[in-house]
Amino acid sequence: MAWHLVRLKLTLLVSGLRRGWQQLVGTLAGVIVGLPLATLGAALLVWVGGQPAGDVALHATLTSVLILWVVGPPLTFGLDETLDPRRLQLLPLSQRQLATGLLCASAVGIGPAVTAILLAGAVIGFAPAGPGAVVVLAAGIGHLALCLVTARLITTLLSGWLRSRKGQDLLVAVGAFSGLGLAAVFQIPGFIARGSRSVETLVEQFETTAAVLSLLPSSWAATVMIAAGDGRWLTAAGMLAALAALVALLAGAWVRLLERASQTAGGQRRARPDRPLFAGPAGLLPRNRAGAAAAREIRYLLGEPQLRVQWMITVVFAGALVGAGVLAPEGAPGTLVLAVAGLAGLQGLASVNAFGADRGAVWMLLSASQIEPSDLAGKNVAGAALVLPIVTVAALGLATATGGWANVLPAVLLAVAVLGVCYGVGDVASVLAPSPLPERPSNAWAGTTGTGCATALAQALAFMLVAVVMLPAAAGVLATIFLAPGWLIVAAFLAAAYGLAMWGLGVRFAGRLAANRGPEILSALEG
Amino acid sequence: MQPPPPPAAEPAVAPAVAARGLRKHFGSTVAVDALDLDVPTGSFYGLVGPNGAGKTTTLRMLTGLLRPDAGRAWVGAVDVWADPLMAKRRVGVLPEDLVLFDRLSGRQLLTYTGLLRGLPADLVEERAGALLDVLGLTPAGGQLVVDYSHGMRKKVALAAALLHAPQVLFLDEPFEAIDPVSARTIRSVLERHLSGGGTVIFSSHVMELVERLCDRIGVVHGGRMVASGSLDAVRGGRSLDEAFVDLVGADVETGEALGWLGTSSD
Repeated sequence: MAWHLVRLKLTLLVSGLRRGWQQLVGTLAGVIVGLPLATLGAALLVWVGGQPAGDVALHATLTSVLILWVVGPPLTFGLDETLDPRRLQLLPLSQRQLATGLLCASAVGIGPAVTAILLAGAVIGFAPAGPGAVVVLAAGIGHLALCLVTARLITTLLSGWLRSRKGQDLLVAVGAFSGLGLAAVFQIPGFIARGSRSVETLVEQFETTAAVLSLLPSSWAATVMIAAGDGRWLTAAGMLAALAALVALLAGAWVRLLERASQTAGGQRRARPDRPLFAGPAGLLPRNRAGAAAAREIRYLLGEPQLRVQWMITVVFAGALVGAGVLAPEGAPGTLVLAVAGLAGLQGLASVNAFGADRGAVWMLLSASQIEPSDLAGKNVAGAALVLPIVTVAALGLATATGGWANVLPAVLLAVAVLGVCYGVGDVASVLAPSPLPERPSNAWAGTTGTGCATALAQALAFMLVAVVMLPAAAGVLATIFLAPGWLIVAAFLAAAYGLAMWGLGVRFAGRLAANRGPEILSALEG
Repeated sequence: MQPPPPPAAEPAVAPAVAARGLRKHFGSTVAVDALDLDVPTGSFYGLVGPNGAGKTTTLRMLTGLLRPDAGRAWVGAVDVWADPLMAKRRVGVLPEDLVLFDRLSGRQLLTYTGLLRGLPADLVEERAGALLDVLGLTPAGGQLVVDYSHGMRKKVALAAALLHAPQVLFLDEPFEAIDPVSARTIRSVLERHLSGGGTVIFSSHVMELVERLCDRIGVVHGGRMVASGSLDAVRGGRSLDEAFVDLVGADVETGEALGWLGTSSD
């Protein structure tokens, strides 16, 4: 039975390549980048084995590998169909057959291959000559088993939640920001190194880190390898026994969970308070079509994972900008406050595909009448209502850091100008080249994934058009900053008026275009 | 151009919906081909046909959601494609695929739909409450539509289609994957719509249901209307199921190839 599940996993991997070019590129990237990188990592472990930094490198590598096994499978839940035990629920399999089969299946793939290569490097690098090599090899196998069993345990534990809508929504956002998190983790050694005043302090800090890591179960295999290499047989045997016991304990817990997961129904839906469409700040909106469009869009911006990621990245950039202003060693100039207008552009450019997240539901608009300027204006107002407070807070933060309080109002006015131009152009682009956002994205940033080059090209053209339309206002503001800084507030007001005028023109023109293109827009959004 | 007069043999009532020569192709596939249709006002009209016959494509062209390659359609006296806004005011639509604004709660979706149609806010709230109540959705009114079951989605979409009290209701497979209790609720709502003078056009491939509900039917096969008229006229003394199989020419023999079915000794 285990062999059948291994074959199923292999078949799914191969079939995945036929699902689309994204899967093909992902797999090829895994093979072309992942395996050579793993080989390089293994070679480094072979090289550092026995050297002073070797212990730290081994602890860090094995801990990182286990963390990736803990985080990775839940994030890819749904992509790997053998991960979900409920898919196998109807088959007449005993718990033992199911557990063995799933464990063997999870050892197949690029991830397990990368892990095996790295562990092979660790074993070769740290194995002493003689019988100690067997202990090191056992530790390597034990760590691989720990990775597989922990990943299975966590996936099974979360399987009900991961299958829920909320769980999948959260995964999209977590997946989108995991790159940033990973980048931050890689900065940690740099921070430690920069904080050290001498080589001795640096070595001491790395040794402390290694000592802390060695206490974690993720590092027990590393401790076994190092102790065996040093000839501390009692420590090696003790830690190897502890590792084996831990794997057995987790495996037992997993089998019990597997049994429970296959016998229990899905998660219960919790009752939600019955909030009206115009709840909270949306209560200020008029009770007409434009107001309803804005209120609906606010719900979507807060609830649809792909739209949520778009404004969350604006928040991240705002934080980074304020952070840069605060941390600037020589003190940042007050004009830095004006840079927050660029944050509005991040959100504004998303409007070039305003109906993307609505997908086929646009039929509801068309069934009522047609896509009207008020639908577009409502969407734009909702976006602005979300992004302008972020811009304002960022401007105030930067003013606090730089003292550029006089630039706060001009910065917000410039943000209005940027939003106006983006929305004006974006509304026209949304009507001329709409495309649905992917239904179940593995990458929340990829708004045009699977929609072909034509969409990406249309959006690139829209971005260029935004730049061209923005040019007169941008040139006027820049000239004022350099030639007559005292008049900046006037230039900012004029830029905002220009942006609003472009928005008005864009909305009306887009509405006129949409009136005759309803069925075509719907066909494009239905994919 | 006025909608065509009803055929001479039929009662002289103004058609609620009519079509002449509707045609639509997708690539090399002709989905609907020169289709004519007459639906008298006040009738419960069933558009039946096998999977892929062109029922959904026809309904989408009749409701202004899919532009036909050729042909014309009328709702009452309004040409759907010459004056789509006027036509859409008179119709309510329940599509088959049920793509809704599902990040809204059921109640929010109805509020949005009502305001989209230009109804006053207080009237929308009143009608939304009544529809949610009748359709048994009040307890789930605050729940996001994305978390609704298939039957609940059908019911909330039906409520959205009824909110503006349309003259004609177009329902694409309204009873597909619906439990008997929900089906009964939907049926009673549709009967109330008919008794108020409305017209219902619905597509289905469940003959028993069509036979029970409809007074008139049209049989679509291969994108063409192969039979239409009163239920009795189309049946011709047979059951509708038999008449349907005769009309679409599908009679499958399982033969000896599946003789092993049900023989397992495990």
